[in-house]
Amino acid sequence: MAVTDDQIAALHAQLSGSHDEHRRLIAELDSRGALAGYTAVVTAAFIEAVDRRFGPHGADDAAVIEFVGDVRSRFPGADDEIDPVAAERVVRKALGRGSISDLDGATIRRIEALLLPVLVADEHLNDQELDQFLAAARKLLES
Amino acid sequence: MTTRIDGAGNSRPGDRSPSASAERHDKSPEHGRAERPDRAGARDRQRAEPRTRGDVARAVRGDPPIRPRDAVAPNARDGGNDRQPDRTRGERAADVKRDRGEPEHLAETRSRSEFAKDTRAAQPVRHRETPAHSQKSADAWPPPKADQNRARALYQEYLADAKAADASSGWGQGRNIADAKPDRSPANIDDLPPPGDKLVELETTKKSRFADLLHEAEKEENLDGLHDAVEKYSNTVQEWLTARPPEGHAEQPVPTSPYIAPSVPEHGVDAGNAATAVMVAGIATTHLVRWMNDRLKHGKGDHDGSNR
Amino acid sequence: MAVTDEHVAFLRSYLRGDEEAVTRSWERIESRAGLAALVHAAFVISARQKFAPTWTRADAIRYVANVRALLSERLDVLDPRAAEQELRLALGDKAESGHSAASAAAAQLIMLNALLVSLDLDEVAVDDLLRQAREVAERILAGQPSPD
Repeated sequence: MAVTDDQIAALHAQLSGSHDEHRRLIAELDSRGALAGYTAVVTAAFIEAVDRRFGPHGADDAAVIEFVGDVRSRFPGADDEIDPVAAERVVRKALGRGSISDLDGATIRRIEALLLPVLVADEHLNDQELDQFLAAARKLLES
Repeated sequence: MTTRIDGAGNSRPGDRSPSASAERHDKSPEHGRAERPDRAGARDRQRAEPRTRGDVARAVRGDPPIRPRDAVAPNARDGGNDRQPDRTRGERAADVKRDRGEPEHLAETRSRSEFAKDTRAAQPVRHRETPAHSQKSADAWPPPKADQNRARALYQEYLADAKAADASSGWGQGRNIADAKPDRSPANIDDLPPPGDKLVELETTKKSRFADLLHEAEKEENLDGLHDAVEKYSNTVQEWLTARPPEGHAEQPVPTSPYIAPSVPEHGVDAGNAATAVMVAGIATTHLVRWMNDRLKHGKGDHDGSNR
Repeated sequence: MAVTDEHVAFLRSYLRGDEEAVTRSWERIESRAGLAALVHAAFVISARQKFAPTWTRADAIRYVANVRALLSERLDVLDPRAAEQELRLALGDKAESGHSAASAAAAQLIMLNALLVSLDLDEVAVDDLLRQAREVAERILAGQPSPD
């Protein structure tokens, strides 16, 4: 699967807290027609982040529920933005459990886009660790 | 919550000493082949010079020494073969295998992969209680399950012994210079990386999980709207992550009066339907109540106000 | 329209998890109108006891999540959004209800169960709560026309 350095850089900017830079890079990618595949980049990073959060063996459903509940309770408006059942199902799917075939793609993309930065922020990665994280995600894309 | 490698310097099962690592990756030809001759040739000079990796490996494993007929012949003319012109390489290899108790079903010198396969099929030779030095783990990676289990069992024994050590000496398990105990037991390996074969399996499932999730995420994707969507989510997340605590949800007082105003909406339906819904729900969930009570009570500390 | 002894017996049986008693109580109920008010009142009283003196939206979200986590073997049992909304309404929030009567009923019943466990009430205290709930429910019903 083709992934560009620019797409990785755009995600890197967001995950490192450079939101303006992130938006600038995304806009630039879009203007060049190079945004295709960005969903794959986010999804790969999401898988990596979920694995790091819930461990190599995949936590049980109670842990997933608590995580989603924690995110929704932590930020004003997050409880309206994030449907808890859908979010739990997407995380479980990332862990290899359950089905989300009845969820529309936009919902899944939204949940990934909202939860990924929070998952990464909770890890408190330094620059090097963030690079390693994205390298691991990239490995998924290129396999 | 991170899953970082323990930086406290605690040793963990599965760690390999440098010598074990060397043995594991030892590709010297004595694995299935006769000893490569010392090019110098002289036995005395052999003794004076450092031993080969194969010599060290054999000594550690406690393997029988190479028999004289397999040993380096002095003054060998060619550097790559044994000096027993009356025996073929296959015969010499068979001798070595016999010494080690390995199957001799291959007449010709085997490739590394063939040897590794045969070794795994053979009975393990236990020379020491150090699985890192076991014959199998010297050749194959990841090590066989038996070796891994043995390593873990030995480590647990070690920890049990260490714990029993006199704590007042300051060298007992859990003590450090600051005389503070670690916040978790060193025997707790739940958060450590899984063993090697499990890692391979996890990597494979990770790729398939990614493929499955991506298949779902790319459904109905409209590239034209992707930019707007990404930007919108980015703005939302930025608001969340840059909001300063304790800005969050506003605190509200709980009404003290139990009286509930008559205008409380009944979910848009009349009281009769609502009551029916209650009864149906009650009937439907009654069989769960015992189970729910059990879950709620056993986890009382979890859902109780402790995190309010 | 009133809250009857059968309504109270039904709710008490349910909270005890006595399936047979629940079925028997249901068969004895002639007028169902007061039951929803009774359940609602009991739920509100227990929620206010549990979350007093102040609460936040985050408290409600976390509490519901924790209850669902404990019941995670049955993810379908409790609708989280319905439960959160019912809890917020019980605690004085002015939000509009956006879910069905069935979801509301199930949420109130299950959350009532959880709240009573959280409050660690014994049988005497539960009976006292049900008595209070009956009084409140009857005051509510006194202000509404009877459907029967």
